[in-house]
This record gives sequence, structure tokens and C-alpha cells, in this order.
Amino acid sequence: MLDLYALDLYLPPEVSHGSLLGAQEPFTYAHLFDPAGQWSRPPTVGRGVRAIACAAFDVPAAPAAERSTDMASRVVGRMLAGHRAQAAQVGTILHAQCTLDQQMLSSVPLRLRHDHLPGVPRYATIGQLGTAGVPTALRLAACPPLPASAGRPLTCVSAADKWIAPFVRHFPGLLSYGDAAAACLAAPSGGRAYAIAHVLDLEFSTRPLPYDLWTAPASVQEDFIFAHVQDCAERVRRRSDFRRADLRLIGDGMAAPLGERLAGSLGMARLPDAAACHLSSASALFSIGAAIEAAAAREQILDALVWTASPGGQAAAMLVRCRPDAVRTQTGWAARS
Amino acid sequence: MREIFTIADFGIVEAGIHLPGAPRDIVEYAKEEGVDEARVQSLLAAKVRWFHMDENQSDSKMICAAIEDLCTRMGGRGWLTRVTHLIYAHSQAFSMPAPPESVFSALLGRYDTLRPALSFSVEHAACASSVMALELAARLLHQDGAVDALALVVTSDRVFGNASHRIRQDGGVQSDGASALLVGTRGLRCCFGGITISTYDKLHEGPSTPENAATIARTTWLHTRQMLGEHRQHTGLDVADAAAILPINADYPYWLKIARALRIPPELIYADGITQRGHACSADLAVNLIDHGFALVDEDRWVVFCAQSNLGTIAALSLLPPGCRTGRHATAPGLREDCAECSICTP
Repeated sequence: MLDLYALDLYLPPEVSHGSLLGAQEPFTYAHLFDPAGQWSRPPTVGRGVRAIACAAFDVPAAPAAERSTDMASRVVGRMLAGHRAQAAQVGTILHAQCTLDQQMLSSVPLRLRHDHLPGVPRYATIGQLGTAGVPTALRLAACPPLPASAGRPLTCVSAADKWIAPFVRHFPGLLSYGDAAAACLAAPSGGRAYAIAHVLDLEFSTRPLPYDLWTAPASVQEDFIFAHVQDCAERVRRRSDFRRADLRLIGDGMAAPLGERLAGSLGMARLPDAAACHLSSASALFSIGAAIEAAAAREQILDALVWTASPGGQAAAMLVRCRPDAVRTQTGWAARS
Repeated sequence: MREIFTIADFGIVEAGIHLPGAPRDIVEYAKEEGVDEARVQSLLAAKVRWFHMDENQSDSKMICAAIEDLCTRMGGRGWLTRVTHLIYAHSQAFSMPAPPESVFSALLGRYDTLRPALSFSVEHAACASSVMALELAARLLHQDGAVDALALVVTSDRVFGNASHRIRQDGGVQSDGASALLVGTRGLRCCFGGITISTYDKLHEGPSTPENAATIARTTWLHTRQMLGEHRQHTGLDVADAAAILPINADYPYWLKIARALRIPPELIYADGITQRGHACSADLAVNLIDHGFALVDEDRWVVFCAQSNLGTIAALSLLPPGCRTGRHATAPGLREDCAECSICTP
């Protein structure tokens, strides 16, 4: 359904954290402490609270001055460097983000257009999918282009998140979110000779949560996410000709043993996770990158079942055929020419 | 899948809105909040008067209330099962639950017959997000090709903070509000004549500094005027021929400038929404359709909605009587000719 032509991945340095919440940046998101902010603040975080102590954990975290828009612009800029011809074929920018930029009046897709993709006719940030927005952005990238984007078949799909208090970074026993960004170039299948990977099919769903996200025990949330991902994975596999043994499983880095449980129930061998923590909205693109790496290492095509899930009720599974001839760049992958 | 994407195949089946609480008077509110008198006078001169606010409703609750209004206008809830795509558009960045929570989990929990195949939000385009969401809805319905399928575009915007956040510098007051727009191909109240989205991405930081805010204030009316020119080029639809321009419900002084520049009578600009409803951001389209636009389209006339933003995205959406294929007005490739079904095409 979709060919991927380039991929770029960015992780800021790993930092030790002692709070459940994201970075303490005193002047950021002050509006969340207004009365109307109660509906946009985690209900477990009181007015004015910017840290909730917990046992130390390590995840990548962007420095105070580095915004989510900066991270997104960095990966897209690196991906397009030296590929001006490809940039001119981008007709749509789709950005997936779960968190809010620290300068919350700004726009990521407009920043990307301004910095790297002048004249792109259509763009949007796709949200409300927790940290599992990338598969939906890829689904939209597989739509035939609008007349406004005629002659520009590529979609620049990006994802970035930076966790700042009072938003919650760490759900003990379930997952810890790392700050991360990633981008890829995608187009409906069949247009070009060389790709780095092919998204053959994908399945995603949003379900109402049968519990309160903020207070339910990690094990209850793990079981719900497990069943949800398993459903998506089974549905997408059943639509394909793949036998279970043909597919390698890879997905989000979780504290809970979700990857092992899924591999057991789906009967698939696992690839190593891209990271020990959940790389937020960029996670699915990091998993695709790790699967391409495995294909390159084996020097043969690798068919992966890539899963991603968010505690907010979203899950997705993608069948991705990774090409061994993808060309490694300093920070990602490019198609051979 | 249909062969060619023709925007006029799609349109709005019905709309619902929720503007919470009784209308508030800007004069009373300004007194309570200590807003200076000169500011109040300039707001009144810009036709600002009534608005809505309620700090005690979440976005999910507001959206559900708008869906309830839509159900009332649709005469029931049977249509919910036909919704294949659910899109949430919002202007106010904070109008969402804390991540990673999603409004969709709450909406699907509330309506057990609402089970779309695809749900997502459109953000980072301020008040133009509603038009972008409608275009995406049409595009997805087109790709799926099921004639009975529906897309539901919902919006919610809430203001955070005191009067300095609720009152816009240049002639507007922000309302809290939500809307629900049902998009489909059959049983339409109006069809889409064309969508134009113009972009000035130098403004990508929004009104984050006084300099940026001043640039936006200085250029928005000019950009809107240019965009309406592009809309005519793309669609053949000249706003001077419309029965009304439905603006976002703020910034009347800009619209007078635009009317002068385009040599159109200022009466063409629908200003009652500015006075009676306030600027409920991405809900303004549904509000102005319900209050004014639908009645004009029912009389076989057409209207254009203009969505400005403070980020450099400006959009126009023409709404025509259903069945109108804009043969006379629209010359863009892909649009059908020889529509003899409405008075726009066969005056």
C-alpha cells in the first residue's frame, strides 16, 4: 500500500529522572493551572505541581532549549539533505505528536514547510492517538493525492514528542516515555524502483478504556494493551498470505513484558526492540528502522510485524517488508539510487 | 473507489453546536475583569457584544453536547453506525485531555454505536483546522467509496486564562464552544463548491511575541484578500456573487477593509455571529451555517466560509445547494459541467 524512501531518527542524550512527570520548565504550560486547565491536566497532578518523586529511571530527554518543533525540523532537515529532488515531490506534510510544544502557539507542520519544504500545498498535525499516531499518518499518506497536490506523490511523515510537566512521562511497571523524533518519506506503492521498505498493510484501532488511565494498576493496563495489539496483529496477518513463522515481531519498548507475551501468543520470533523505553510518537518509525537494520545485517528481505500502542486506547500493527539494499546514512536510511 | 475526486460530490448533511451557558455580555464581563473602557468601546465598534464561557466542561463533554444537538437535528441516532471516519479539529492547543489520553476514548465510551474505522485530530492550523478536517473527510470517504458512509467532524475550543486571553486585541472575544459536522454524499444540506488553503509559513510561531502578533494583525486581512482571489481562480466562484461571506466570528474591521479592497458591499459579510455568538474558533463554521448559511443555501444561493488563523494558514470553503455541480461558476478541471438543477447555474 505504501513505499518508504527515507528514514531519519533522533534521540537526545539519556538522562536520569527522579519524577513521574516530564521536565520541569517553570514557565511552560502555565495555562494548565488556570481553572479551565483542569480538563487538560492529568487529574492526578495537583494545581502547581511540577514534580512527583519516584525511583530513578533513565530515558532520552531533550535539553530545556530544544523544542519538539526543533526535534521535528532536525530529522526532516537531515532526511532531505542532499535530496532536493525528492523534497520537490512532497505534496503533504503529516506530523504525529502527542505532547504540546513548549511554545504552544506554534505549528510543527508549518515550521517544517518553512524550514525544509517550501510550497507544500497540504499539511497537518495528526493527534489524539496517544503515542500511536504514526500508523494513521501512514494510512493517510496512502490516499491518492488531492488535485492540490498533483505531481507531488510523496508525503513527509514525522513524529516528535518532548515530555514537560505537568504531563506524565513515567507509568511505573508499564512504560517510560523518552523524548524522540523521527521522519520518513512515503508514497502509495508502485511509483519508484527503489524503496527502503514497503508497508504492505496496517490495522489500527481506538477503543474506549474500561478503566481510568491515570489510576488503573499497570498490570490491568498491560492486559488491555496486550489484547488490543494482539487483535490488530491477528487481523492484519489474517488478511495477508504470511505464515506466523515468516514474520519477525518488533514494537514499542515497554517496562511491562508485552513484547514477550505478544511473541508467545502470536507465534512469532522477536527482533530486538529499538530502545528500552517507549520512544513516544516516534516509536513506530524507530521500530521500522530497527527492522531495516536487521534486513541489512542479514542481507535479505525481512518481513516484520511492527506494533505500537498507547495507554490512551490506541493500538496498531503494520506488515512491513524491509529491504536489505537500503543505504545506511549517519542517522537513518535512504533508498539506493 | 470513485475514479476522480470531485469535491462537489461531498457536502454537509447536518450540523450541531454547543455554546455553553447563557450568553455573557462583554460590557458586564469587562467591568468584572477591569478591562479599560476604551478597549470596550473599540470592541463594541467592532460589533462584539455577546459570548459564551464555561470553565467547568471538558472538551469531550462539549463535543458530546454538540453531537446531541446534531442528533436532535437529525431526528435520531441511527446515523451514528454509518460514521466511518471521526475527525477532531481544534484551534486552541490545550483543548484536549492530558496526553496520552484521547478525546476519542471518551466519545466511543459515550456512544456505543459510534465505531469509526479511523479517528484522528487535525491540529496546528488554528481556525483553519475545521476546513482541513472537512477536506480530509471528503478525501477519505472518496477513497472508501461507500455511498452511505459518513464522516463526523467534531470541534471543541476552550479559552484558558483571564480577559487578556479571552479578548482579542483587534476586535473579537473568544467563546468556548463545540460543533459537530456530518459529511457525506447523500441527503446533503449543501455541497462543497471548493476548498482553498493558502499558507504563509513565516508565521509558524503564531502570536508568541508582540512583534509576531503585530505582523499577523498587519497582514491577515491582506492574506485573506489574496486567498479569496486564489479561491476564484481554483473554483471559478467569485465571492462578490455569494449570498454571504461567513467569516470567523471576530475581526469585523478587517472584513470592512477586505470588502473595500474587493469592492463588495459590506452587507455581504455576515456580522451577526460576531455580535451574538463570539468567536468559538473552529466551531464558527457550524455556528454560522446554522444561524444563517443553511437558510441561504435552502433558497438556492451559495455562501463562502473564511477561516483565518494566527499561524499563517487561511482557508475558504464554498458551500453550494446540493446537486449543484457549479457548471457556470466553476471552470476548474474535474468539476462537472451542465448543472441545470439550481439557480446558480441556470439563473
